[in-house]
Amino acid sequence: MKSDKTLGFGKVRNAMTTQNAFVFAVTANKNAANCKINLVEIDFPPVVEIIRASSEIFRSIDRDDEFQCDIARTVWKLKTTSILTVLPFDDERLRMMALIESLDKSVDSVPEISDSVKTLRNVVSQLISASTNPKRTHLLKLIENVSEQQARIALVANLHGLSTPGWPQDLKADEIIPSAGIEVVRTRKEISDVFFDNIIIPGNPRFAPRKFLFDLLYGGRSRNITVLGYRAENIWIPSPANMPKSDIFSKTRSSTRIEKTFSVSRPENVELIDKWANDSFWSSLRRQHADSVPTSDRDARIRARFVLFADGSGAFLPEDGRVVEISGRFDLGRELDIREDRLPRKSVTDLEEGDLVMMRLSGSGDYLDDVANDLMAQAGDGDLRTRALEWKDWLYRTLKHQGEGVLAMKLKELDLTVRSPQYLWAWASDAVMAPHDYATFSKLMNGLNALEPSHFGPEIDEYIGAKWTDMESVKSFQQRAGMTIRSALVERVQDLIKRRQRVDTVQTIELAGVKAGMMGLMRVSAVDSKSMMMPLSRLFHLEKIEHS
Amino acid sequence: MVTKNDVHIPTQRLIHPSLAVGGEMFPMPDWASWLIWLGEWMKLQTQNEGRRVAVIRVPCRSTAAAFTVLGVLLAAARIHDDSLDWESLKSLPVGTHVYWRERSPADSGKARAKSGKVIGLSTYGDREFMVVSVDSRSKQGQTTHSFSKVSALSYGITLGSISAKTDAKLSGLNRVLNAMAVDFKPSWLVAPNSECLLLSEKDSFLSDLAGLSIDASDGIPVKFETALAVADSSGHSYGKTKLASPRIAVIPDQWFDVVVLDGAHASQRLTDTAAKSVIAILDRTEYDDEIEQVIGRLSGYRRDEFIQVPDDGVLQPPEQMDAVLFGLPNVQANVSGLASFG
Repeated sequence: MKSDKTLGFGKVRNAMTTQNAFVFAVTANKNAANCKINLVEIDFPPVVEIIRASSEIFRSIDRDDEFQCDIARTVWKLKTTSILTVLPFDDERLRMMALIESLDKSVDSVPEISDSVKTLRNVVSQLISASTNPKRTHLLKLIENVSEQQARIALVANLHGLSTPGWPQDLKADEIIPSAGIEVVRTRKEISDVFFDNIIIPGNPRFAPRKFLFDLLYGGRSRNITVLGYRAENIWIPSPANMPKSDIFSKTRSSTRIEKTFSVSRPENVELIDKWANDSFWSSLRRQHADSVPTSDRDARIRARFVLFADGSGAFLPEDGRVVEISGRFDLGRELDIREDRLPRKSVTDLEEGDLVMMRLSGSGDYLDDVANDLMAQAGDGDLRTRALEWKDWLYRTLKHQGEGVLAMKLKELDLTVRSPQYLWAWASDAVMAPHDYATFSKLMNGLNALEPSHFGPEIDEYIGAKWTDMESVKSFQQRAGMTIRSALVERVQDLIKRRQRVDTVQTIELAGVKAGMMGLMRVSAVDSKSMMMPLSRLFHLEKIEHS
Repeated sequence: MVTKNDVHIPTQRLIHPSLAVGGEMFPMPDWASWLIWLGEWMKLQTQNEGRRVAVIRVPCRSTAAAFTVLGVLLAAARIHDDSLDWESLKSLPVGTHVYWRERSPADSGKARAKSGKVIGLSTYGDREFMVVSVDSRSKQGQTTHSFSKVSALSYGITLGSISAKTDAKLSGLNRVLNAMAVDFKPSWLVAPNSECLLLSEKDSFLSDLAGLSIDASDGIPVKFETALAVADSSGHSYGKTKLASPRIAVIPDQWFDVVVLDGAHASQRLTDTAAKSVIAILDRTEYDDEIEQVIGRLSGYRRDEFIQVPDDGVLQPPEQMDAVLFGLPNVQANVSGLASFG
């Protein structure tokens, strides 16, 4: 076996990215087994002042008033910028003076905050004129200590989402420090197949995206992790949850060593303004959509997550669903193999910042269904879908009358155990077309017929056979629709790749010969960590989001 | 309370061969050895009362399920009992499609693939026969074939067809079993059922195994995927490992006493399976509140007396991995979707 040295923990990105999954797992396991997290604390009184003044302003404002909420956001941005940045405080990209000026203007409307704004102005002005940033000084020292032998160092720039204050989105590593081997990392994708000699987290990671943070801390990306922050930040490093106790295995939690150079705050010790700034956007979005009502009986409500795209739009996507996601192929310029059975898909719950997903830009609802409907109409069988799925109304009525538990019991008698009685509602809705095989479908229909006999009488078997045949035809049209979309999309994407066209926000794609509307490749900016119940008709529906 | 009984796992006897990636050799890493051991242990325990659920948390999930499944297959090959094959053939529902290979002297002993549908059982004297209507393209009407226990086992009647490709997979598995010094009956290779149900994303699972081989010590490495003898997802071809999507509506676990759940989506199905041994594998990012809730629902029924500690003790997971194992009473899946215990 290769030694640690030849495996090269983070020495060569290209080699590692092309190595196979097993070799990656070998290194990740070794790193994880030997990982230590070092916490470095900085005392800096001006930061304490800024945090205190910000908290006072936050306590004074009325959070039901949109104007005052904007003040709170500006205060939070100013506070977070000054705490998290590793640039000199007078760097113009930080816009710290502009934020202060904006607050100054607000004082007339909310006089209660004038003293605190004054404090902020004084402290920030001093920081800007002194120019020295102690976090930067410590960072440079750290890098100097570890940057022998061309060490590869990751500098984590996503502590509050992609637009982390203090870290302009286009900020490059060499603009922070002109030293080889430093990389600014912002997304989980960027660290999915690489190792580092050191990972530096320049602030409290409490609000960093959980999966990204867990990959960094516990995913074996490095053996050496440093968290660098001000004492006043109340740094909190999340640990993997304890698993239930086991008499068999002595250990239920991994033993990554956290070297405490100072006391770590408790999880509940969090600044309210930080919590509000990180939660308010999503909770307000959820509130806005809480009243979405189904358009029909078949318009079932299912769990959905809101996905925010880089162009400022967003859409609810089904939590159990999967979407076409091609960032791997697009960003790395890999060939899209047209012979593939299907386009690469990703579960909605696994979507993350930087993903590139295919969405419908015009019209609403399921794109594939609409293209398939077009094809059915062209083939002279425009009613096929309605005919094939009419049994869903019967199922829906029976579920309404009898309840899902009763039907599930009846199906159990027929030797059919469903994953949960609630799942029967999915079959009654348009969320899934039908049970996966004929035997299951037949038992379902026989169960229905036993509970609420329909007019089919002795011909129930014939009915089941006819519906199954119709559904097979629908599936075949769906497959043809998928192939039509895939071919058109692959051709267009290959062309974009050849032209080395970047997709930072959205790339509109009109598919020749596909009538159902315009498609687009959308860059994911953030995904709500919580789901909510939404009617099917509201899914995939792009809407503009207004948020500063 | 944990019991010791007749379950014996001679882990030391097995040789863990080297692995090869692109011509480079790697000794079996400790985490992979442990996962193989776990798979073996969980399979061996299926011979006993009760059920067991193991939840494993790893820093990197790539290939972890593959090693676990390999362990299950190694144990299955060792404890295989021919007589149970006959019992399971006899219990096949009427209409079940079965496959076998016939060697005919007239055809120079060459094996020919046959298939048919189970008609039922018949008894002549004190002997039982499984009667199968043989699929045929001939217009001369249907023929039937009555298999005695001996002939059924010698033909190797399976629930999926054994194509040339499947034959190659089984032969690869055979070489791995030999390389690991597993004492097994060759009839296991064509026993009717698959051994392990793996719920995983097919594309990523198979692409993770690409390029990884097991050194079979005869100079020709066996592709890892081959060694797992994965049946095709349509279910038409035979294999020892059945790979299914985590999103499948009904888990087809009636033929499997070990189910491996690979990843968060698959592990959400912990309560949907009644298999005797279940192993859920998650990475650290995947072990979240939802998974904790699923485990919490099960651990409420915890009965650790159904765990059988091997004579030579429990192998502890490596430093970077976490594991929990709990016993459960036997279940009959009930309408609430949760196992009904009793």
